[in-house]
Amino acid sequence: MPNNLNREQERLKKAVDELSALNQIASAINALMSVEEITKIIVDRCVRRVRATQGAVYLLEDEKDASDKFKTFVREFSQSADKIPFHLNESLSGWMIKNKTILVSNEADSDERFRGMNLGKLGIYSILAAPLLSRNKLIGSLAVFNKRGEDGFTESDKRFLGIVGAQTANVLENAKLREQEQELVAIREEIKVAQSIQRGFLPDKGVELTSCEACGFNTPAKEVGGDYYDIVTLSNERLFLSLGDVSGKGVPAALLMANAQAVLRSQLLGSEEVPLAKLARSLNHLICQFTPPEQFITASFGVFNSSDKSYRYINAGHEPPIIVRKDGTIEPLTGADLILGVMPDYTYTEFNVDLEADDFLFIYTDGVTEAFNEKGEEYGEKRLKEFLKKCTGLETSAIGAKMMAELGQFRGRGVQTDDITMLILRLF
Amino acid sequence: MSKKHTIRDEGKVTILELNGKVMGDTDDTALFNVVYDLADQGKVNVVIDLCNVEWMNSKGLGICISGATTFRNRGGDLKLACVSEKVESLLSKTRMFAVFEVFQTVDEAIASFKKI
Repeated sequence: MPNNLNREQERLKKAVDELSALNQIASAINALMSVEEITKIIVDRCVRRVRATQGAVYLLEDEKDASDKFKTFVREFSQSADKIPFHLNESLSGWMIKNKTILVSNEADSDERFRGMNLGKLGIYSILAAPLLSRNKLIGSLAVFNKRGEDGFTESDKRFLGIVGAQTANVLENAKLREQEQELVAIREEIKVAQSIQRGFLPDKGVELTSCEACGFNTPAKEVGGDYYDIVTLSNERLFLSLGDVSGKGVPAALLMANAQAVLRSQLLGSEEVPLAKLARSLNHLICQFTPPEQFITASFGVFNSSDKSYRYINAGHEPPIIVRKDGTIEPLTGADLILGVMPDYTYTEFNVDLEADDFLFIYTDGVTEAFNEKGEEYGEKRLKEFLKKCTGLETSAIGAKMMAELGQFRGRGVQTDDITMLILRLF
Repeated sequence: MSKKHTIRDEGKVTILELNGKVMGDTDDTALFNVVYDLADQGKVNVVIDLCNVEWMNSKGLGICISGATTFRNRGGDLKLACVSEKVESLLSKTRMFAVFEVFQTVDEAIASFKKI
């Protein structure tokens, strides 16, 4: 009888100890702690409680690939300065993904599950690991190594680690989600900065010479876009106009766009007569060299000379710019070459067109013609040409504003899916 | 894998049939992997069958260019077949006929590989 009583007392004492250790962990963790702070507390308390020498939490980073342990990136939070060897952490995580249960190995060196790892040499002789299951999803594992004394990890240790694993997984998962959310907020802030930098690359107002005026418009579909335009006054009589559309959208497109614009601008410096074909060739070469094959630019750029009202231009696979004559006649510029960034040694040709007073030139990206309404219909070239016919005699700023309003009206409740960019030159 | 494509072999030529609009959305992005997988399997003579593709945008075009580069780097080629009026207009506007051989039918595209 006294034996039974002693055993029962012993059992109760252990249960109270266990509860108090669990309680200590629970009260040490609060909802606003970082993943790192929480794991540190868990690992620390578990190592102390089960009398191990080392401990770690492994969090799976990408749950989509959890079925394939080789694709799973594991984030390690180790308690000791001695790092757990990488292949052991990999192998433990792999085992957890497969079995989702507690692992005890009191003779780790000869354990089949860790064969070939030479754990003995690494000084690891016993392992106890528990799955971290949050809402039935494995988010990682909690492991302790090297039980002090000779007996190895006990049933009670196993039970304790299991409970800690089950109880802390949700807290860890929430902390992880909160960290991801904070990262997203930071990224959004950076994109806002990128947007304002990108805005700064575009001319902030139109340009007027004695016989012409030009103005550009740009409305990106995302915060940062892949379209650009530029107007550079070369002399009292000459204007350089350029407009481009980088394949894709968002930050990668914006980076390439900024680069292309910089190349174009730098080549204009100090050049009396801008060699357009040569400029296209070097830009093409650079894009081929520095971007992946699927990324390219369509662009149209040229020089308007008011002394003879000529417009010399290059069209690299871009929407043909449209001349609207004084009487409303529509004349698309037919000269064109290959898009930039596909064939490094492609030779570009310069074309020329004569303009007259009261004509205007409309250069645009496909965001204009490929605007869709809620029925899924496309705005299209036909509508664009009809619209432009009605714009003769208007100032460029008015044409641009009317065009934006027209597209907004056409789209109705449809969403803007592509960047919209226009560059308009009017003669007087 | 994209739900929008099927792959079949005819002799040493592989035909990649695409469906719907090729606009570089998530499904189309999976096409990059399809291209790399084909190249890894040594299937580098590829015809893209566009009979059921009504429309393609610049991202879709980017996938074709990337495919052509991948296959050519491994001694093969990529040819396009059966393009719709809209896709043809895109290829013409961007002067892509300088980059791709385009055939009216898939059979003609397959036959063009046999001439080599």
